[in-house]
Amino acid sequence: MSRLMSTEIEIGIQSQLVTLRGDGTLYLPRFRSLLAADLHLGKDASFRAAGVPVPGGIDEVTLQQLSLALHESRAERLYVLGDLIHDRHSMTSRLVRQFCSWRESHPRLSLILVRGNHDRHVSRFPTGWRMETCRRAVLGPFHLMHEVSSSSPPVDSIERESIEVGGHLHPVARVGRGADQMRLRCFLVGDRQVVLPALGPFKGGMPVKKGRQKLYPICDGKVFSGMPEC
Amino acid sequence: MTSKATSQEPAVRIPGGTRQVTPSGVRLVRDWMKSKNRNPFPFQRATWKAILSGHSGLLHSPTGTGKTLAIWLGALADWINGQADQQQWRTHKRPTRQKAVPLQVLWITPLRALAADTLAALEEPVGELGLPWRVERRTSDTSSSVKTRQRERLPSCLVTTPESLSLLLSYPRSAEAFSTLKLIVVDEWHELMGTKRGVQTELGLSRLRGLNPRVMTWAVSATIGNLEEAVATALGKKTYPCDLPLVSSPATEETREPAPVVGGTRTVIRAPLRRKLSIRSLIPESIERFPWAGHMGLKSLDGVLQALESVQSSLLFTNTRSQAERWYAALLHARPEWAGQLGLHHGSLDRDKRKWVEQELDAGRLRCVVCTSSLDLGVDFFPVEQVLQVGSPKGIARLMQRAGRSGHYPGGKSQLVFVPTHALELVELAAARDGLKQNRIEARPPRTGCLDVLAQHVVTVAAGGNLQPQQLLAEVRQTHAFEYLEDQQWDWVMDFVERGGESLKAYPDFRRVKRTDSGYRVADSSIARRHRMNIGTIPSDQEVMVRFLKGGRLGTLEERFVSRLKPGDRFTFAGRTLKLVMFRDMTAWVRKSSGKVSAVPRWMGGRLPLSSELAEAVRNRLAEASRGEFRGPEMRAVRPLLELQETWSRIPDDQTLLIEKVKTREGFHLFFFPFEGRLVHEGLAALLAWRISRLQPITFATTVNDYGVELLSPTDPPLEEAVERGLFSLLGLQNQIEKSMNATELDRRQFRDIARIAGLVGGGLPGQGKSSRQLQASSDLFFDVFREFDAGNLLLKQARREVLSQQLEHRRLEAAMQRLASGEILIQHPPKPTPLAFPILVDRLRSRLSSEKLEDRISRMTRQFETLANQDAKRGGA
Repeated sequence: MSRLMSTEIEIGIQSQLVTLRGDGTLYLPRFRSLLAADLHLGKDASFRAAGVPVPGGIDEVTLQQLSLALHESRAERLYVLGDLIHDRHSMTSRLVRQFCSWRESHPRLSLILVRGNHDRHVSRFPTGWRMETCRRAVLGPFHLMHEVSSSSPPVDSIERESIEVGGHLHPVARVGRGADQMRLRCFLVGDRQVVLPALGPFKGGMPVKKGRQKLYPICDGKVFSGMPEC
Repeated sequence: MTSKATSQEPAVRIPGGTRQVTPSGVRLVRDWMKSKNRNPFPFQRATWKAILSGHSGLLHSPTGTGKTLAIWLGALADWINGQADQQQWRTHKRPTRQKAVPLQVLWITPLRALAADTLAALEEPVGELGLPWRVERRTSDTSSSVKTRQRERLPSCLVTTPESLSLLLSYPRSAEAFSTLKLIVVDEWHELMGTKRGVQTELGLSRLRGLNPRVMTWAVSATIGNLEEAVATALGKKTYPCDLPLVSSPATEETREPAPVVGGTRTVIRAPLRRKLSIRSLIPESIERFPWAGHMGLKSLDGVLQALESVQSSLLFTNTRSQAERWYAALLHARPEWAGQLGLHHGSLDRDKRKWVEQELDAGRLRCVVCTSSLDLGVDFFPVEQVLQVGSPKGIARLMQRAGRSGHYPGGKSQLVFVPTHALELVELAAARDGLKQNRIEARPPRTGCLDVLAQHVVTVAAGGNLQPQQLLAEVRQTHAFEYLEDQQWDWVMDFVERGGESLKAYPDFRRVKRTDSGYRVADSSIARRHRMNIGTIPSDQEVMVRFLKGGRLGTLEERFVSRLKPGDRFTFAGRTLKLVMFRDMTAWVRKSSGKVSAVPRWMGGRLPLSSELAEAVRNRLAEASRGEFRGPEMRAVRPLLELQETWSRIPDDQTLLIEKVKTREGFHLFFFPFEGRLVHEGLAALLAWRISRLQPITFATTVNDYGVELLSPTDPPLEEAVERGLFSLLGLQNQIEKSMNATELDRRQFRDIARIAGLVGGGLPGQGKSSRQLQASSDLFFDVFREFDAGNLLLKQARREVLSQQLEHRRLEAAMQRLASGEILIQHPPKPTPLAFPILVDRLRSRLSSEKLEDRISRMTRQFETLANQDAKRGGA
């Protein structure tokens, strides 16, 4: 059964096991680390500040999804692959408090933010968030970053086995055709690259075409092991 | 318009006229007309009198000139009469902005392309009479420096669009600017009134009347089926000085004299039909060899060439832009020597290209212009002798409007040549002739209760100064669109702009409009700027500019078309073969090319459904044919085909619903022929498929056209049982339609416009460049977020209502179901697809719609997977 969907799928990249999860996060079993990308917290607040009415409650849902993923995967470390925050209007006192209390509910978790372009609006994150930040992180062969390189990563002798993992693109797959077409968020997996979909509601997406990379669409908490034929 | 004229005099009688009418103004404008060798028509004199008496009204006429002067000279005469000294005001040169008469007339036109022509027509008498007036236009094309100067002091007459009017109202001090306004003219009101732009105009007018209650309003409209509503929408509920019931009467047919009857202060003036109309069809030589289906009509190319050769200048109307592109190419291919004498005109071409075509056409240098509805409106081109219509006009009003574009020279006659694209369209034309004869012109039902437009208007007014909610509500309720606005809806709109949504809790830190001691105002200037950039209600698909690498713009294409092309692909556009070089920053860079074309662009908007008036006329014609009557050349031509239909199956009459069941290699086809137009059929198809599948699990592929519905299934559907068990029952109709149509997806599509109009999505702030992109989200995202986090949002409800009324034509669908339920059902089993069924069959090859929606399919796959997984688990446990 090649066209199956599941709550998670294990795939091998360069003989390394990774788990694609139906919620759009990625788990690295060898490092007990959960990876999530593009949370864009406070995006709703930025819109409201500019006079565009977006209901609140979106960040709660995003953080709940994250908590559930942490619980299910029993990860010890969480890497956010950039764009934790939407923009400078996003850091409302409400969000600061909200994130603090979320953080308190995960006392033993270490949290690392790999900074993305949207995170530039915040030079220092509140100490209560207990979060390290970096530009890039390396976990064995995995190079975690916000934006993966557009061409294939350099193949030199030292980093032959390296795998880039990032976000930034918000990839979505177009499924179906004509009036029936749907956009599903998806993982984008190349030979030596993985791009994660954006996590949580109210995130846009960029349609990607199936090329040399493989698409793993997600829908309703399930991940497809390939493009569903509809 | 049914009451008889009670007065024998053609002149206007003003009951209790209080104003002293001095004739000097009328004399001056009349003399001016005579100096141009034109005698004022009675309807023009009637309009002048009505305006001089301070009346508001509506002037309607079939296409033709003279409407502009009827109103304009009335306005000028009124001003002249108001001057104390008749000699003092005369001037030889155009007055400066400061010296010119302050704003008197606001002239609203639906198309900015028309504004220039209108301006020229208005300026002529002003200059020649030596009036100290400035006439200017203000559209999105006007330079910002002129706009700024206009804001400081408006000209004596401003020609503008509904959008530019809203913009003017969004600037501070608009109350002052409009304080001298005497007359508002709404030109081509029939074009606006059935749309959200019409609602926007209604709101704008109500604001102007609120600022200046004495202002007169005159609407100009072509003939439509609901003139009373045209008056009600344009003039609002109350027009100064008092609101008396509207009385009017039809023109007396014998004399073709207008017989305006005045009731209170609202006057309806009918200009007479001046030109005769002749219609003929290009009857194919052999109907047997003429296609049974199709939509291009190129089969009739020879006949069209002959028709074009017979006169100096023609317009060839097509129903879609891609058809126009194809026809232009075909004509040029058949007559290469006509290069330079052929023009192409449609809405996606660059303005300069269109302008060139219009100029050349006006100068009589073009043999033929291939065009779409882009030339339905606007000034008349005198050289045009005949109009060709390719394919069904789909409506009686449209046929009349297009035919009226020809024969404007003295003693001219409107001539229309109908070019059928398939055999059955001849029936549609025969039916359209009946409709014309019986004057059954389609109505343009006005939109009501559009909260998205209202929300936009509220922010506009708040941007223009201190908004007083009670006063604004009173104004808004004077419009036809919001006459029945409920308090609760109004409160919701005010909450929406002030707090974001109903519940304070769900929308923290929201700011757009804020309450102050002196009234509501926009929260800050950047929000006001952003609002101004996004004013308007015109649906805009993402459009891509098409440009030559060497420079020069050609026009715009839809992104969905361009994104499917690869660099190097050839396509035709603007009558040329082009090669795509690259697609970057919403611009398609192209090079001229030749050789095989891989694509002709298609634009959304698509095909119009058959109007219900024309649909009924078609049913009547078929009923005649079922009795063996074939009247007129079209019906005689199509007779062999209909007789074949009768042999294989039946010709449906107006009492029967014909159902044909045919088995082919593809499967089992059910054809239903209600003849109700494609939109109604779409809803019907989904409903019928849903109801049959309740009896027996079955998947249908559905196709519709204007004549009928096809349901195709791999297994034999239980048709007879379904009919017996109430396939056409009226019970539970609305609920089942919503269920069967995947209404959520339709809502989502409808929500795109609503989101833009209500200010959810739109351009960013000027000069902010990239960072403004962080404030962009697609309407789809908003739709999902509202559904999840604010399900009570009234904009979602509006989307559903619009889906039902606009997309599915719910009322029409209900009426159709009623007709079907009370009529006879006739099931036939023809040996193969009949002439009526064939066009639907062909349509299916172009568009396929499955009755099972994608989400359902995905959830079905999920369930399958879960079953499998459970089985595995059991096996593992055992």
